[in-house]
Amino acid sequence: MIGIERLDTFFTILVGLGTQPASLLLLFGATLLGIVFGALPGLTATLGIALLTTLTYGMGPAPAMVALLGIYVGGVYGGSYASILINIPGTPAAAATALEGYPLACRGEAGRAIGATTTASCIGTLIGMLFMVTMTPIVAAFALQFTSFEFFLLAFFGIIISGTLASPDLAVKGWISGFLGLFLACMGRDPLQAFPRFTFGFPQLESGLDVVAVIIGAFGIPQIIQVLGGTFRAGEARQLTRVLPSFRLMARNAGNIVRSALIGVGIGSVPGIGEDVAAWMAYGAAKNASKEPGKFGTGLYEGVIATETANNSCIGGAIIPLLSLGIPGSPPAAMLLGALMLHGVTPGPMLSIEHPNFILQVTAILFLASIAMWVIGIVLARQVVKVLRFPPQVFMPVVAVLCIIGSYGLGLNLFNLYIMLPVGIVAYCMTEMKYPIAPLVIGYILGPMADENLRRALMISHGSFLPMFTRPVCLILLSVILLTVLSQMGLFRWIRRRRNASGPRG
Amino acid sequence: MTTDKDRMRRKDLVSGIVLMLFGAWIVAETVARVPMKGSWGGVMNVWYVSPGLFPIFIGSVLFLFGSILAAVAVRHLGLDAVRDGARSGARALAAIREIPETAFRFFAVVAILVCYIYLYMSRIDFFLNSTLFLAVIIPVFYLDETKAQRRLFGFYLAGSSLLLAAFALGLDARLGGGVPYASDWLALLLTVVLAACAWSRARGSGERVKRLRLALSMAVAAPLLIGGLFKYFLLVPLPREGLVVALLDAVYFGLF
Repeated sequence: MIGIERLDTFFTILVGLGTQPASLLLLFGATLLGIVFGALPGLTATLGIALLTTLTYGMGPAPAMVALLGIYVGGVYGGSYASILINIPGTPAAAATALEGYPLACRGEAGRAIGATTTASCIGTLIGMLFMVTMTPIVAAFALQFTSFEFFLLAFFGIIISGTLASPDLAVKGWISGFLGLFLACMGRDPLQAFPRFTFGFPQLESGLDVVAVIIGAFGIPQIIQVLGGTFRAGEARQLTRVLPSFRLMARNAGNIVRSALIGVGIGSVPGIGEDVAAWMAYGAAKNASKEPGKFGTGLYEGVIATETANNSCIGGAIIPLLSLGIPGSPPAAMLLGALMLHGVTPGPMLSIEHPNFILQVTAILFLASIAMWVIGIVLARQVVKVLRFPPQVFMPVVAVLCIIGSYGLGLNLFNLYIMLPVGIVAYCMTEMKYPIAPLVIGYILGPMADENLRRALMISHGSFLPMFTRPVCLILLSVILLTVLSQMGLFRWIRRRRNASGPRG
Repeated sequence: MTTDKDRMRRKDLVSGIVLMLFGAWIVAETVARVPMKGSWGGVMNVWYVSPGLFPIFIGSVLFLFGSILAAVAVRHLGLDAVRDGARSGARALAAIREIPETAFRFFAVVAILVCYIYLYMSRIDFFLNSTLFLAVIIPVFYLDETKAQRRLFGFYLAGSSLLLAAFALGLDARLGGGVPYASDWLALLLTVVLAACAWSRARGSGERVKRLRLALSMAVAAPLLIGGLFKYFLLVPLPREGLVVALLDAVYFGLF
């Protein structure tokens, strides 16, 4: 009965959004902007959401979500254009697509490859959306039983997991990044007693660091420095032919699509790791499952379909922990969390109670955004690829101006800009030393939750940590955290060595 | 032979030590300034409710992780290699005669951003400030000729230093008594001089002239589009509204 009611509400929202010209215009505009953002090398979906957040501040939460989810879906998909046509991934999520996409383009099949990735991305987004709408209420209902100890450990778990999986080098670097984010969150008056911490006498720091300034600084400035600081050379741009993919090609890849979508949803729902990891894992799985794995790298449709299905299905997966627990599943989802908070929507277990239709609203928007993406991808592909002719050395400085006015525009506070640049320079240096940036942002976002809940939990237990070891969910979270940390510290290698050493004797 | 991994571990050693110091500073600062017990704002504190608890935890963990990172680096490199590395690093620094291309690019981006935000944002009209920023940063990285890039950047730094001196001595305020928007006029003058300098460097090559034309048109069009969108569509007041905003206001309010 409740299911039918929810379905009814979903269709009401869907029809409401689909029949309002203003909503449709906003959706198509944001999705197109996302595709352009994704297609331009150096610009990512995360940065797109960050910049659009500043433009949606005057809107209500519903139209703002239409715009932000539109740019998210379009941004993740748009990366495939540059990968296929110039062999430079438009976004990290599309890096794996270049391996098969560019050889396909060199054979004169660029249009068909883009058509296949467009359809795969659309199906991937829809599968991710299905998982999101079914899993989010279940996880949220489970999380309603959490107490402060669980919430503290959950925040800690998010940082440790994202630090471990997002780190391109040592896992400890990911954890450090997460703890630096927690430190940034400590600045300003503390959430329980309003005591000023690390304000250095600046009254502007009393309310803490502005979320948009930190996120734009952490994600935007390093990209600007990287693109302008490096010597950017793109491959020769390829021409587009027929874009619409054949039904037979997509039907032949049905199993590949389902497998890749499941990988995408699974990876997306793990805090902090995003579309790029999902795409690489799906590519690896497609190669393993292929009858001709040796042909991978020479231009196979299986490869591009797998990567693009996975990175787009990751969107739905990343939204599951975001809406149910308030923990972002990927870097763009972290930005989406910041945007939701700015619009007065606090994701977490209470979301279904405070905003009963919000999850269905997000589902309807994701559905329409995936359709909009497919339509734009098939109809406007030839026009969209023209943006690839625009040199990054010209558009990146313009993006810098947007980052700056966007950071300023939210609080009308020049101090935001004074904070954004140092955060960006530190984030750039960290990137150069192979520290991942996503855990820093996740740590910054989860900081108040961790701080508040740790102290509240200890207040209830009168300073005792014992409940952490007696509550089942706490024990599970604690065990996962400990196992993750110990596995990275060489404990398992040590056990294996001991077993190998004692093996022959036994 | 030094591999990429060796180089990365050297950086890890340095960042590990920095993080240890940073973690220790967080703990020391918290202990010194945040009450661990006693009354604050009518609330009686015990250690586990104190606002200092979480920062102490973060500082301690950062210290621990920093030491782990440094230990991993030392174990990978070996103590002798660390000592040799420190000596050879100091020698390499002393031997630097010319700034390498990548370092130049990094410092140029950062310096131009620093001037744009810290020096001009609160003093110069947003449109003019952004035009000046784009008129220097696009040609510096798009003209693709090292000599021209460095000369243009040098010109910009010299001009900015002069403006900094003018602001520090209060010349803009004194000029402002007689000439409205004096600092904006100074910024406009710097932009024109920079554009002329870039033009003189590009003149010999058709391709460079084409690139410079694109750069300068973008430098003028983008701030008008972005600033106009924020000011007149989203109704966001700009960080500094001066000469160009007054002009645009006159046009906008004259029309609407």
